[in-house]
Amino acid sequence: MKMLRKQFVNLSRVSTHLPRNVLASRAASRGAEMSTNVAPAETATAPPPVINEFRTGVTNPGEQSELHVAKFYTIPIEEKKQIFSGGGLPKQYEKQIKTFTEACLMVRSPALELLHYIKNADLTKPAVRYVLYGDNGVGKTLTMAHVLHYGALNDFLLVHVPWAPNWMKRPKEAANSASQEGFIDLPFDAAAWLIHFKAQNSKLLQRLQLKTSKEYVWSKRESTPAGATLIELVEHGIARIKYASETTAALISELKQLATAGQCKIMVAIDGYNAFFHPITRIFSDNKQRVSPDRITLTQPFLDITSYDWTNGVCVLSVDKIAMTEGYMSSYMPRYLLGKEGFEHLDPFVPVHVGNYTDKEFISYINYYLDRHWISKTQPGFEEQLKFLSNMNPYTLMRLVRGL
Amino acid sequence: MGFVPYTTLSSLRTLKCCRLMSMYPPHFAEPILKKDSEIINKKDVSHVPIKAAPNDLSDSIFYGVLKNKLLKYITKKGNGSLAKQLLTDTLETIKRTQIERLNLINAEKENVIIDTERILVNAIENSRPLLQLSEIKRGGVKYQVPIPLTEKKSYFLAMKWLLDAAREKDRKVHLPDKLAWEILDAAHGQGRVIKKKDDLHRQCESNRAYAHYRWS
Amino acid sequence: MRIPGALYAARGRAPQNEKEVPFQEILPLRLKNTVSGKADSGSDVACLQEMGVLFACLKDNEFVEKYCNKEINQFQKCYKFYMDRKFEAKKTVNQGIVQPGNNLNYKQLNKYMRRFPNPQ
Repeated sequence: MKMLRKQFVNLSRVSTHLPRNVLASRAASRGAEMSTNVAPAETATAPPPVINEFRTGVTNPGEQSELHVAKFYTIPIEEKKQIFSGGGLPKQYEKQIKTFTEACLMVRSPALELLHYIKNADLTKPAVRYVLYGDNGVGKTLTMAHVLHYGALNDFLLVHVPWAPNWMKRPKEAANSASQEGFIDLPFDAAAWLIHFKAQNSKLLQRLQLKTSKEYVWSKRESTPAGATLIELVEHGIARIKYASETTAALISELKQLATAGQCKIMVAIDGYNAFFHPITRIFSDNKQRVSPDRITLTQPFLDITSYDWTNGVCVLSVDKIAMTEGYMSSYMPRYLLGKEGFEHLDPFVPVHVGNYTDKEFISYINYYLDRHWISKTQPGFEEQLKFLSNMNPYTLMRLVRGL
Repeated sequence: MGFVPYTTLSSLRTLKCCRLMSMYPPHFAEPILKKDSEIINKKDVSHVPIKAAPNDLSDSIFYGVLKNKLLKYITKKGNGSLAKQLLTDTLETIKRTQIERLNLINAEKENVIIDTERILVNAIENSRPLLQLSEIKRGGVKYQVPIPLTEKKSYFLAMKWLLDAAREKDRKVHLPDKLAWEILDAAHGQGRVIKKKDDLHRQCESNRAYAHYRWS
Repeated sequence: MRIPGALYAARGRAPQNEKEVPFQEILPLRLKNTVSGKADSGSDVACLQEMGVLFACLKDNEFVEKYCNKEINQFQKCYKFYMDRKFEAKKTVNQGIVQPGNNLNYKQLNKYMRRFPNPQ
C-alpha cells in the first residue's frame, strides 16, 4: 500500500513538469484519494498530508527552489499569527484564509528571486534595497509576505510596515509634535506599529537581549536609561501613547546601531513605500493646510532605515499605484511613483518586477480553487473563459471567481 | 431539499406570442444562446432573418437564466452594474457560508450544496406560490378569491418576496448579506418567505368557498 | 261629496295626442351590423375540482407541499391546459376565416354581416 502511494506521489511530482490540463490533474488527485480509501486503518493511525499536484510540503521558504514554482505551501497557524496578526496580508486574502481554513501561499518566481538575492547577500556590506513593483493586484504584498515568512524563520528582526499610506491617508489621530516644532505626531498609529513590532519580534528580542545605547528622556519624570532592553523601550511607547512616535524613532535608530554593530540582523519591509514621497497627505496642520509627508514625525525614521548607511540588514520595499492619490497613478514604474527625491534616496536599488500569473501558475491556482470547492461551475472551457476575462491577473481572478 | 430541474425556466425567456408592438415581423427567429448546441439543422436557419441579440444574454459561465431575471428585479433606476455587484456579493456570501458549514460537519458532506446557482434555484422553487388571492366585487361586497397563477408570475412573486424580505432590514446590514440569509433559509425550506407563501396558501384554503366567483 | 275612484277608472286615461308629442327615434330602430365579442369569452372558472382536491390535500398535510406533489402537478397541468386552449382559441378567432356552419364566433359573424348589411 505504501509503495502504491509512493508511486502516486512520484507520479504527481513528475507530472508537475509537464503542462497538463485540469481534468487530468483532477483525475490524479481522485486517484490519490482512492488509494487512501483502500487502507482506512493506516489513515486512522497517521493521517498523511494531502499531496496534490499543486501543493508542496516544503513549508520553509528558505528551502524552496525553482522546483516548487506555482505550488502552494501552508504557513503554520502559529507563525501566521506571529507575523501577520497586525496586518501584512490583504483583507480579502485573510477572508479567503478563513474560508479555506488554511493559510496557503503560492511560491512564485519574484519571491524566489528575492529570496535568492537575500540568501546570497553579503550582510557586512551596506544594506541592499529591493523594490517590488508591478501593476495593481499582481501580488506585491503577498510576495512581501512570503519574504517576511523567510525572515521570521531565519532570525531576522522584522521592521514591517503593513501599509504605509494608512498613515498619510487615514490616520487615527494627528497631534502637534512636542519635540519638533511644526511637525505632526500620529500617536495611535505609532503605538499600533509598536504593538505590531512587538508581536512579530518578541521571541527574538527576548533571546537576543538587545540594550539601548543611551538614555532617552521623554519628560521631566519619565526616561529610559541606557542599557535598558529594547522590549522595555517598546513597552514604554505602547503604554505612553503620547510618546509613541518618539519611541519609534528611538527604536529604529537603536536597531540601526545594533545591526551595524553586528548584534542582530534586520529585515525592513515597507509596503506602499512611495507614500513617503507623495507631495501631500490628508492631514491638516493648525493653519488648515495639508501637510507633506516629511512633516510627519514617523516618516524620518523609516527613511533613515531605508538608506544605505548601515549594515547587517535588507530592505524589501514595494511601490504601489494605489498608495498614491488621483492624478499620480498613471504608471507603476518606481521612478514615476517615487519621484525624483525618492528615487535619489533609494538609488541604487534592486528592482524586482512582479507580474501576472504564468500559465502554470494560473492552472495551479484554478486547481487550488477547485480543491477548496471555491469554483463549482466546471463546464468545459471555463478555465479559458477565466483566463481571458482576468488576463491572468491574480486579483481580478479572485474577484471573478467569487460569484461562481 | 429537493432539487427541481429547471426545464420549465425556459418560459422566463421566450415569449409565447409575438408581441403586438414588436419591431420585428413575426417570421424573425429568436437568437440562439448556446454556441454549439441547439442548432438542429443549420440549413433550416440559414435563410431565416434573426432578431438582434439582447445585450444581457451570454454563453459564459457567469450567465444563468434565473440569475439574469433576479438581476433585473434587483436593479433600481437602471443601475444594472450595481445590481450585478450586489448579486455577486450575495452569491459569494452564500458560498462562504456553505463552505464553512462543510468544514464544520464531519459526516454527510454530500448533503451540503455549494453550487450557488443550485441553491438559488432551490430557494426560488421552494418559495413559488401555487395560488393567489384576487379581490373580486360581487353584489357590492369584495371577496378575496383564490385564483391559479401562471408559471411566470409565480417565479416573479417568489423572487419579489425574497427581495422584499431582504430589503426589510436594519440600515447597518447590507443587502447582499440579508439576501444571502433569506436565500439560504428558503433553500432549506424555512424562513420568512416560505412562511409568507404558506400563509397565502392557508388564506386561499379558507377562502376556497369563493373560488367559483372568479372571472377574467 | 266624494266620488269613488272606480268611477273615473272605468273611463281610463285619454291617449296622448300625437301632434302634441311627436315620436322620437332615440335609438335606431334597426339592428346593428356587428355583434360584440362578449359572449364568446365564456366562463373563466376552470380547474375548480382540482383546486378542491389540492386544498384538501394541503389541509391534511398542514400545507407541506412535498406531500402533495401529485395534486399540485395535476392542478398546474389543468390550468396550463386551460390557458393553452384559451390561447389557441383566441388565435383562431383572430385569424377570422369565414366558413359555413351555424357555430360561428363573433369575428366570423361580423364578417358575414358586413357583407349583408341592414338597409339604411
